[in-house]
Order: sequence, then structure tokens, then C-alpha cells
Amino acid sequence: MSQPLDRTHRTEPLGKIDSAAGEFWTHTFEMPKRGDNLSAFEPNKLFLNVDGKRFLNASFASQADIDSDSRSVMVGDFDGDRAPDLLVGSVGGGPLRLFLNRFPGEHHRVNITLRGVESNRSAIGARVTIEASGQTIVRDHFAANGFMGQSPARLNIGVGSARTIEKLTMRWPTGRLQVFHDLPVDCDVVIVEGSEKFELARQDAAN
Amino acid sequence: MLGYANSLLSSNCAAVDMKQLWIPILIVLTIITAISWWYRNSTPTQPSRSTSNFSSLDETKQKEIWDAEHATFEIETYVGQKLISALQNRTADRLGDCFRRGFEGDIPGRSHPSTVEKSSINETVCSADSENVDAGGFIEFLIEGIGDIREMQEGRFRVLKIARSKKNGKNTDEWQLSVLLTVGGLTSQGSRITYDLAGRMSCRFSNDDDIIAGKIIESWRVDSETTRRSQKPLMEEATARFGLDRLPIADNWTSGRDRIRQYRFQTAVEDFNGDGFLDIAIATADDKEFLLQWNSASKKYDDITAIAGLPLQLVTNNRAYLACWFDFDNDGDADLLLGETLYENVKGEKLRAVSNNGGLELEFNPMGCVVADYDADGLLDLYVLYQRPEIENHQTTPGWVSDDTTGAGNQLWRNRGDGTFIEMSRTARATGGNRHSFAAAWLHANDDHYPDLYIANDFSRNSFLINQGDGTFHDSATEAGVGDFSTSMGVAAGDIDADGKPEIYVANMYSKMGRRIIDHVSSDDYSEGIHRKILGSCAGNRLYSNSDERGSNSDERGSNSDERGSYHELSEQLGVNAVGWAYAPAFIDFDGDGLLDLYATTGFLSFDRRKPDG
Repeated sequence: MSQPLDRTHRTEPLGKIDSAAGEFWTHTFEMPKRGDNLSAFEPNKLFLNVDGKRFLNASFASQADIDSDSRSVMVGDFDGDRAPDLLVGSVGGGPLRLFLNRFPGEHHRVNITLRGVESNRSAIGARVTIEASGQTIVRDHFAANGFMGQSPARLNIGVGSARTIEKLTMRWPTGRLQVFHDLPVDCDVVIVEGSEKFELARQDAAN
Repeated sequence: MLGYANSLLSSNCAAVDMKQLWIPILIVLTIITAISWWYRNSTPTQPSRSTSNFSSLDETKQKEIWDAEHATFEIETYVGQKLISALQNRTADRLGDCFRRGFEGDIPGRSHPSTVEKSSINETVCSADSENVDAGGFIEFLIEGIGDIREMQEGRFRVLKIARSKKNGKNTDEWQLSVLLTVGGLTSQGSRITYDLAGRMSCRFSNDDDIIAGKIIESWRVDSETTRRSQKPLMEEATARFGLDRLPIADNWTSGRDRIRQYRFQTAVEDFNGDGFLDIAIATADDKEFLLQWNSASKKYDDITAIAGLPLQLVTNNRAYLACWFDFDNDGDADLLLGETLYENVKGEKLRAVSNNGGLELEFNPMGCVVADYDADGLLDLYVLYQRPEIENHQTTPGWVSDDTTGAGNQLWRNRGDGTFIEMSRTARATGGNRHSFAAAWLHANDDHYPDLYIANDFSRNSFLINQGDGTFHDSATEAGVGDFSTSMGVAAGDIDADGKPEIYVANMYSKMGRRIIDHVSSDDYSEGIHRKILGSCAGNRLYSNSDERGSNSDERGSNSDERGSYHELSEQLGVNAVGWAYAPAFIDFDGDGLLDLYATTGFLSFDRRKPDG
């Protein structure tokens, strides 16, 4: 990496340079002009959480391992099948590229739509804790912005093989707690702050 | 690419006492500083020929590092290509051309592999029951290892570490390397497969010609052989099908080299019109803006920028190209901050500029913004991140290895509920300390319902603003053990192990060469605390966890082991460290098993696949 702070500076090499093979030592920082690669063509990574204690590098199988200087990633369900997809922003190779979720398996999901009343209406800052088939899942409800790209705030929660959510604890942004029991999966659940019942919406995946 | 060494030999970045800091600062930190510097300045400043900063640099060590990097380049280029092409053709004799007479191999047994299966991916690792083999046995092992790869699509041979052996204090022709061989492709059934061989190698050569001839490998000890197979692709690209393939947004790969940019646009995704489908707002650094709406009839995105009443040209006096949806007026639809203009959503049909911009006055070149109701009053507030002031207020170049606080303060805009905002960052102690902020993530770091904020900073430690619940924040990055020095570009938070304590994943700069060079220096070479920061500057991505069951795992790559707080850094242990020159990460449960997975973007500037990389 040849980017001295002073771009006009030249350094005498301390050893051999294999210019024929493209080795560049004495360049100043002239990447655009000379087209020198810097951390170039690095594929984006996709890591699968195996058991909360280690991740499996699944980039090679993802098709989302594009190597075009990506900057942002927006996560959301773009095709309405409740599985999260990726919209990837890059400065090369196409500005926005959409990758739809095609993960195999029979896992169930639930979309939880929150409506704050005392809390902000979008319920940004809520925490949802789910207990289903012996598994506990904790999600904080924010619109993530990892860098230069904001994802929609959604609680799109996978529950594995569970066919029902035994217990759901809502902590609203104001701090109010609410507990719900026996919620279905593979559907959209609407929860309104202060209301003791939840509503069901859209039980079949739309296309 | 070895030009790295140039930066370590040619900086004029004075200001701080760099006498003992030469290499690392220049290796790693200058990359970023130089790059940001370069992008700020369209014309070079006065040329300077001074190299006085390096007068204290030990010449022998300079030369050693230079030689090692040169050797790396030659080995990766010539021996690497030879190995890859021989593997591709399965030609045993061509592979044999790389091994010296008397070659000693050390290979793991394949009878008791450890296996992981997840989402139709099968990973097999062989690392135990090793045995010694000769060249023939080693070649047989290699060819057998890649036996299932019918069509090889990629192959790389990388030198991760390199050091010259010495005898009686003098250089020998023998070199010790840590190497990684990766090949990947398709099986005969057409499914994806990758093969990684991590190990140590001993090479002997007296000059470049020896390397070019290729017969230099004396021994190769394999530490682990990893094979990963996938039955089917996990995702499917739908860019063109959804009508996103012809967006009129400039692209470095087609724009021409005089129009290269590090960043080009910000994007925000929400359901603008309440039809249940996601819409996309974009603001670009060259002053364009777009609103793309999902059309359920054509099943494509339509450009409705003008229809929604947005100007096609983004108006900004501050180089602001923010994109952020948030329902600031609590009426149930998503309002939009685009560029630096706040728009109110009118019935999911129009976006109407809010009068007086709601009082929002942005500073120069905001990097992004994040939304939460920090004071729990039922109104969404806005936190805006800044890198540096428009006119920098320091006379000298900042000390990059210190905790640089010459950036711009971030803004906290409190929503007053009457359609206006008021800036509270100083009262709330939420500026982040002028640390060149790039990105931030709200999370619930503790048991209260007030949201906390982790901020990824360039050039300095990161910030961890714990919400005190009284309208103020306390930066506890150091005591919590999450403020390690690094050059951070992105951050995500999510609870990976369901204990109610979200993990924090920070995207950092990482450089292959930086890692290699840093292996040549030690804490003896630097004054107190500096070495740790240097290590941190090519640390790779970090994952902080404060789960109770995790043991202490303070690493040697810049973590504050002596100041370790409640968090542990676990990126290597969890296998999420080596991403590259990383930007936005995201936690996502891809496979619906209830466990959050990760996606991590990376890559700085790519120009030519035929040229070497740096």
C-alpha cells in the first residue's frame, strides 16, 4: 500500500522491484491515475451462527459474496415471503444489488408489527423476548444503519421448528411490560401498546 | 502489493513524535489518513522532500521488512501461480517442481474429521493425527483433497506471515512462512465447494531467480484442512428482475478514473405508501436523489421521485446526502430525511418539505444518522454522525496514534413534538468527543429501557454512550472494554446467544500486508501503549460480547487487556474476524433458526483483476 501522506514524495527503493510482475513500491498515492488496487475485489462475507458460540463462513455458497467494493447493506423482506433479503450498496459493479433469501429448511417465522401508543408510534426501541420450543430469542427493535444504509425497523423473527410461540414479552420504549401467550407462527402479528389482545394479519405469504 | 513500504518510508506527517513509531503508523494508519487526505484535496500541497522523520528508523529493520515484503510478492506471484495452475490441471510433476529435494511434509489424518452442518452447508475440518510424508505423499494428499472440485473457479496462495531465519545473527537463505491455500469451484453435480489449507512452510532461496524457478519449498506442515460443500445457493440475485439494474447512479467501475469516489450514496428502505412492500430512498454524493416504489402490478421498482414531489436535484450546502426514514410526527407513516431536507409523508403519495426544515441544521458532510427515542417521551429523535469540521481547527496534523479528537462533534436532535427539533448533544454529553464518527448502532446494552449508542470512529477509540435515563449519556467505552483503538467504518448490534445482552460487531480496517509487517515488530519497539494501538489498526472486524458464560479471551491485537471491562473480544474465536477492508455489517437471521447470522461488506477500491492487490 503506497499512500504516503505526501503524494509528491518519492522514495528510493531499498531493494529489488519486480516491475514486470506489477510490484509497486515507489509509487506515491496515485490509485485512480494508475489504477493500483487497494484491498481490492474482497468478497462480502456471510457468516452463519452455528450455536451462538461459532460462525460458519458460508460466503462461498451465498451468491451474495460479490467483490465490488460494497459499502452498505439494507436488510428487509423485499418479496413478501417473510424471509430477510439483502439490498447491497457498492461503489463498483452496480450500485444496488438485491439478493433474495433462498435458504433451505422448514423453519418457521413470524413478523411482529408494533404500534406504540404512549411510546413512539413505530415502537422504535422496544425489546421483544420470545420463548418457543425451549428456545429464547431476544430482539431489539431499531432501524439498523451499519454504514450509509438504513434498514427498515422490522421484527422478522425465525423460531426454528416451533409451531407456536409460548410466551412473548414486550418491553415498550416507555418501559411498559406486556406478556402474551400462545401466538401462532408463519403469519404477521400486530401488537398495539396497552391492548391485551394481539391481532393476526396476512397468514399466507404473498407474492 | 508492496508499495506499503513506501508509506512507511516516506511520510511527512510530522506533528507527533514518530521517532519510535515509524513502521506501524505508516503502514496502517497512513493508509486511512492519506486516503481521506487525498479525497479532501483535489490538488497536491507543496511538495516536500524531507525524510527526516525516518532518520531514527533502524536501517537494518527497514531493509528486512522490505526484503520480506518483496519475497512475499515474488512467492505469491510465481510459486503461488505455479501451485494453483498445477492443482487446476492435477499435474503431479508440476506440483513437484515447487518442492526441493528432501522435502518434508506433515499432513493431518482424514479419518476423524470434525464436521459442522448448517443450512445445507457441510464443513469438514481435518487437523489431528498428523503424519510425515515425502513430496510424493504430499502431492497425493493435495490432489486427493481437491478431488471433488471438478471445475476450479478460484485459487489463491497467500503468505500470511513471513520471517527470514537467522544463524549467529546473520541472515540465511531460509524463510519461515505461514501460508493459506484456497481453491474453490464446482463439484461434478454442479454444487459449490471450497478447500482451505492452512499451514506453515519453510522455503529456501538466495535470489528472485530461485523463486521464479519455483523449486523453493523445503517443508510444508499442514495445520488444518477445511472443506466446505453447499448443496444449493443460499440466495438468488434479483437485481434485474426487480428493475434495479439500471439506476442512474454513478459507479467507479464505469465512471472513469478521474471520477473515483470512496462513497457514492446513502440508501434508506421503508414502506413509503403502506402497501406492505419496501420502497427505497437514495441520496447521492453527486446531488441526485431517488424514490423507488415497489409496483405490485409490474413487480418492479418504479422511479417516483418527481411524482412524490421530490426535486430531482438534491439541494445541499453541506455535502449532506443522508437517507433516513422515521415517523417523526407519529402519524403512522414513514417520513423522510433526504440529503439534508426533512420531508413529511402525505398519505403515502407525496413528500412535503417540512417548514423551516423542522429546525434541523446539519453541519458539514454528515456520514449518517440513526433514530431512537432517547428520552422515552414518545417522540423519535435523530442522531447525526460527523467525521470532521468543514474548516479544520487544528494547526498541525493530528496524532494518529493518540486518541484523536480533532473531528467534528455529532448532533443529537431532540424531537419537541411540534414538528421541530432542538440540538442537545452538549447538554446530553452525546457528541462522541469529536472522534471522526462513521456509523452508530442503538442497542439495549443494559436492563433499562433507555436506548444506548455504540459509535464506530475512525482514527480513535470508539464511543459507547450509555443512556443515563435523565437525558444524558456517559461514554463508558473504556471501562466496558469496547473502545479498543481501531479504524472503524461500521457497526451492528444483535443478541447472538439469546441472553438479553446484545453483542456488538465492529467493522474495521484490515490489511493483509499490515498483518504481515506488524509481525516483525514488538512492544519493545514502542513507547507505552503505542504497540497496542498499532495492532488495533489492522485488527480486522471485532465482536464484543458481555455474556456471562464467555471466558476471558483478551487477545494480543490491541485489546485493552489491562483495562478489560465487562466485554470480551471474540471475533477470532467465533470466526468473524477476517472480513477485509470492511464497511457496513448487519445481523440477520437468514435461516430462521432463531440465531442471528452476519453479513459483512468489504473492499476498498478495485481497479483491475489482472493487477496485484495491496
